[in-house]
Amino acid sequence: MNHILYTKGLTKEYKRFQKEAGLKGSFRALFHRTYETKAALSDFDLKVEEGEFLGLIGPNGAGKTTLVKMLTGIIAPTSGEISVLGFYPNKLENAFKKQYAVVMGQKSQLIYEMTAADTFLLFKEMYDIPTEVYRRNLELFADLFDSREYLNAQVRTLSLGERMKMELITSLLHNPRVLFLDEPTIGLDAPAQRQIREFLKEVNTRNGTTILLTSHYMEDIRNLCPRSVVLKEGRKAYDGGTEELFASFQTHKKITVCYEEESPFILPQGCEILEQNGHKAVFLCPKERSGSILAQLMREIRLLDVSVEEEDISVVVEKIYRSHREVRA
Amino acid sequence: MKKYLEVFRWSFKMQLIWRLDVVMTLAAILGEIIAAGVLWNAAFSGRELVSGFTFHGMLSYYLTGSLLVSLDMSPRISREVSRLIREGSFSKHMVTPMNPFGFFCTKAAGQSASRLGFSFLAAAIAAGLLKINITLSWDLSRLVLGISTALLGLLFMAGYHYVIGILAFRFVEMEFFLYLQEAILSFATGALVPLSLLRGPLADFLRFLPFPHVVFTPAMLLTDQMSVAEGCLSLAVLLVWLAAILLAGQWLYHSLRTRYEGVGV
Amino acid sequence: MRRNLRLIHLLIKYKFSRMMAFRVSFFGAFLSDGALFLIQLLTFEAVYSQVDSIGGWSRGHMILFVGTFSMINALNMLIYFFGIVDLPGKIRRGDLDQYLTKPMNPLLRLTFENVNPGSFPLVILSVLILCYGLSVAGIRVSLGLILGYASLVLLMTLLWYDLELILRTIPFLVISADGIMRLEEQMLQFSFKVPGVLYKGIMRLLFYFILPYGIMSTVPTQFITRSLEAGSLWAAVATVLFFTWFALWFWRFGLRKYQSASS
Repeated sequence: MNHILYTKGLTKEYKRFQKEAGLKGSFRALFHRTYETKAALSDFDLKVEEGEFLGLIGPNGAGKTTLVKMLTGIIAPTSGEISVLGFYPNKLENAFKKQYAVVMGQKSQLIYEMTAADTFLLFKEMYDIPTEVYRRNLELFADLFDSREYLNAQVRTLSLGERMKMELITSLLHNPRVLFLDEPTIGLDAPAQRQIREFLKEVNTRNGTTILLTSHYMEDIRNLCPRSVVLKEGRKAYDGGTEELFASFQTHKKITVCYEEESPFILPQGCEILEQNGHKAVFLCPKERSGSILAQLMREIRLLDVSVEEEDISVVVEKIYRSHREVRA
Repeated sequence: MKKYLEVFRWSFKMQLIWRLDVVMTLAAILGEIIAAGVLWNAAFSGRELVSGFTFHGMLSYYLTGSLLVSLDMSPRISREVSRLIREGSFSKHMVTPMNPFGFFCTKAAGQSASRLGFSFLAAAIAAGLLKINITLSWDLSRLVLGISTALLGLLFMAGYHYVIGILAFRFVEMEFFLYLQEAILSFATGALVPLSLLRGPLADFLRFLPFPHVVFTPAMLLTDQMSVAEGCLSLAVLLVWLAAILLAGQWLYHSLRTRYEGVGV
Repeated sequence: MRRNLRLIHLLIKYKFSRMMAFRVSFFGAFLSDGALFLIQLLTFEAVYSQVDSIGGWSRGHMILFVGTFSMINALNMLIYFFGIVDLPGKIRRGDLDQYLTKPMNPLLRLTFENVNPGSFPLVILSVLILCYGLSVAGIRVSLGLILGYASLVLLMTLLWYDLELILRTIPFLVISADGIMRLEEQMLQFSFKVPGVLYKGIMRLLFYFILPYGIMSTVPTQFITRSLEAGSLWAAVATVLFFTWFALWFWRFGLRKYQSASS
């Protein structure tokens, strides 16, 4: 199988300057410096096929951004193999750059003082986009985002969400085969996040664009990426189906019961109470016992209302990040 | 007082982190003196005196002058204050129980102190390299007067740059003005050329400005090339300006800060 | 090549539009640098009020020297200075990412994306200083002299670019860039105050060949005052060609070391 993205034993190390605290340490460091080597990414293997939508998750400093920077050629690996679209990224060949795009949530490629349309024109020239393709793509993406009105507004006057939409349009004008997204929904409100998710799903299915997404918002990953890779301290901790990943950590259900005040509520065995007052209780129970526990409650107390939810996604993410076990699909 | 001491210590240490900066401090002083040495060596060719200076007297002036310039960290105050105001992060100085001028002035003092040793080292190397017979004054009254003028001059410059920085509350784009005034100040302080070389109304005008008393006056006093009487008059002029600039700094801060929009707190 | 020219044209056009939109500090560079050169002129005037000649150079020579420096600086400010001045900042903040991931030569884009039309009056000011210098020195100019002088000024502008680029590429390899920028400032101030003809021995070697700030304004000044020897002319041309090659090689070398600060 020909992989559009391939790494084997990929490693990136940084040197960090160390200094003792205090004035003495400052003076000592003036003449003698000690450095420590820190691996931002270690022995990382990855294979991605064309058209995949891959999620990359992990806590801060796990190595996600370092990986994206190596895949896009921004930084060179310390060791290991890497190939993207058949190129060695850090050679930074134009033929390679014309086939991918990268959007970094915190680094804008738009010309701040001008309109988004001006940036589009610059990119048209930079990427040698034929006028016909340029027009067609611009119309398509502006429609998908319902954002025609923003095209001619100064970028600095746009909201964060509108600006991110323009970033995405900019990066897709040249029909990239691979799109790298580093925290594209960071800081956006819920409706803007949803709109961007729908847009990306459409781009992935309609154009067959391979997308690699890093995000701290698990809603993004769960909604968009059938496959996820979890990074922890520079190493791969999981590579497999996103739903399987969540299922293996989502071990509890959250049950909320409202009952008549005189009914005594007794917490079933093996459950953990989250909130309780005279007529309401919220608790976690093991997923496989949720049915029997509900049946038991219905027998024992007079219930007014019941809701059963999945465990909070933030709790699940914390569990994934904290877990010491290696989860392999 | 303790908090200002802590700012002083912290800024002193900060300066030491960047090794290259220390090397550059040395290079700056050496460069300044070597440039003066080369230029004046050619200008003195076949002459004993130029405008009352001997060759060694002239180089002693540049040596002392560049030492004082290297200790003057005040241009960083205007740059930092105006940048903080422009970027919206000056607010942290508005909410801490510390006078902003006190903070920036102490910080600059810490930076100057950490440079002191290196500056003297560079001056000694330059004097050795160019074989300068330093015409240092051994007259106590001149020495005291010279050192006091130098210290008050540094304080004046801190006040002046604080005022310039604070003006960013009113004028957002200050960058080019900062360059403009730096160019003018390098001449007006006497760092480029001893001001006694000037004749006519420009020389008279400069005498009543505070800037010549930051470099020119102390350098001339310390190298035994200015009379005590003239030094006292210069010190009096500087004191008046110092009081004015410190008051202006406080007044401007309190009247302009109400315009602060505080973007990106 | 044609694509690059189209891109440069677009970058310049955008820069104009941006400046028109804001009008911020349009003439700022002119005011600050203009003052710098006038002050330098004043400094030399103060020295020449006491002596007739410095190292064989008369007052007219020195005014031409300041005018030439001012002209090279004006072209630097007009064309590329604002594009590459913040290169160390871009390296430190990781802002080069956006340049590296686009199919356009990142150096070409950096160089031309911030042309500064507000510096044009500096060119006029420099021409005025030069005319004044020519009249004080009593030099009669011919077309050949002007063309030769203009070519040398352009060549030295390229040398200035090379040196700016080399120093701004060092931050790929070290943490603090402040010192490097100060080194440049020092070198410029030094060569600004001391014409190259005054250097002897090791200093001549240093400022003519290792950090060739010394030749930038001196060589065109010697040319226009008809005191440049053929050997010095060819040595200067060879120096510029070498530094241009080295600057481009060093830039590519630095890029390979780019660490890109984390977002």
